[in-house]
Amino acid sequence: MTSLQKLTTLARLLSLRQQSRTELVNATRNYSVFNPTYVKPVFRPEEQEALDQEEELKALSLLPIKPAFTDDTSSEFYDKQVNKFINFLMREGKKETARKALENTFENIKRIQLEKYNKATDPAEKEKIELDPRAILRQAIENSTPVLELLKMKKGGQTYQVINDTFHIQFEKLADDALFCCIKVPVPLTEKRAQFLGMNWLIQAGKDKQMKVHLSEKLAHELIDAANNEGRVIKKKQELYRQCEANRSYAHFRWF
Amino acid sequence: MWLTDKLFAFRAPGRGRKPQPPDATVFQAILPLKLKDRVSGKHDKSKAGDCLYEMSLVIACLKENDYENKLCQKEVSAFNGCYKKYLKETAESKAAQQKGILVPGDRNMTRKQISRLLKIRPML
Repeated sequence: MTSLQKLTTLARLLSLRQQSRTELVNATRNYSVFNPTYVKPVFRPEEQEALDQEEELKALSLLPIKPAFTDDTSSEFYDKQVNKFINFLMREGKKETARKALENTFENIKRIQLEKYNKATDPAEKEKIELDPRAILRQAIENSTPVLELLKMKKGGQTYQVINDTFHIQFEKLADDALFCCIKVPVPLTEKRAQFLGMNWLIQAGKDKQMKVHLSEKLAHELIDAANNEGRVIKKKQELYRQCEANRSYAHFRWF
Repeated sequence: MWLTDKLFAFRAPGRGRKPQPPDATVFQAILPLKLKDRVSGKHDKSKAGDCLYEMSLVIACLKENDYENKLCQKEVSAFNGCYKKYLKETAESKAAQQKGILVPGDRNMTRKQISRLLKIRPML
């Protein structure tokens, strides 16, 4: 066998391997093939233990169970919120890229916080500095999650314009100019929606940057700022509250 | 008895149009002259309570604390609880309406319930 032949066979083998990989990835799309009688898997050890103590595990073991997703692991490093954040960060289904971006962000956060820690001279001040990037992400999400939102409503034949994007000041000015013809209705949020808004604002803030700057650098700073309850995302949230307060007289449109 | 044509029989010239004779248009009952055994009712509204009071408390608290929702934990949790209850109640009432279950002694019936009742006991 010549070297060229060897190369071609190797290439063919590699392509075959890749094909099987894509098939594996596509297999997750077919999750809906399972009958609704199938039960969602319990993959966390602590949840399984809790079920065992309540003696529900035995009943559950007799039921048909769906397979767990690839990112639903019993690993010690599993974090539901981090997984959700990765999914919101993901574009075009490139989960690997999104995950790497967040990992780099964590690395940057660690570097920034360690630098702060080493520069600090006062031991009391040193204690206050949070070094765990996951804890910082958790804190940032908690701080940036809103409790109210503004909703678009059509009432009395007029279409009321809603400018929910307070990131861009020019949009806000537009809203002020057209105030006499527009209303915004403050509405409550479901848990899911609130979580989405908080996470998405952080991601938007991370993406609002120059082309030269990496997402992981910008996002790291935004996350640290939000964890300290300051910065653009927190300002955006407070601006939303301010608008809700200004439009509180329209609140009844949500229910009537 | 129609009097209009009799009264206007002797019209002065140039005093407008002559009234139409009553036989010119005869009423025709195209559809049967009775109501149908169903109601459309496009504006069914749920009777679940709103959370306006809770929301006003949250907004007042936010204004007081310089728009920092961490300091309004009590108000926010009450508000969220109310909203959850509201969502649950609306979902339940909607499901009941869809089914059109008849409840004996129910005074405020939904359109589905009325239609169902009329189906059992049609109008004479």
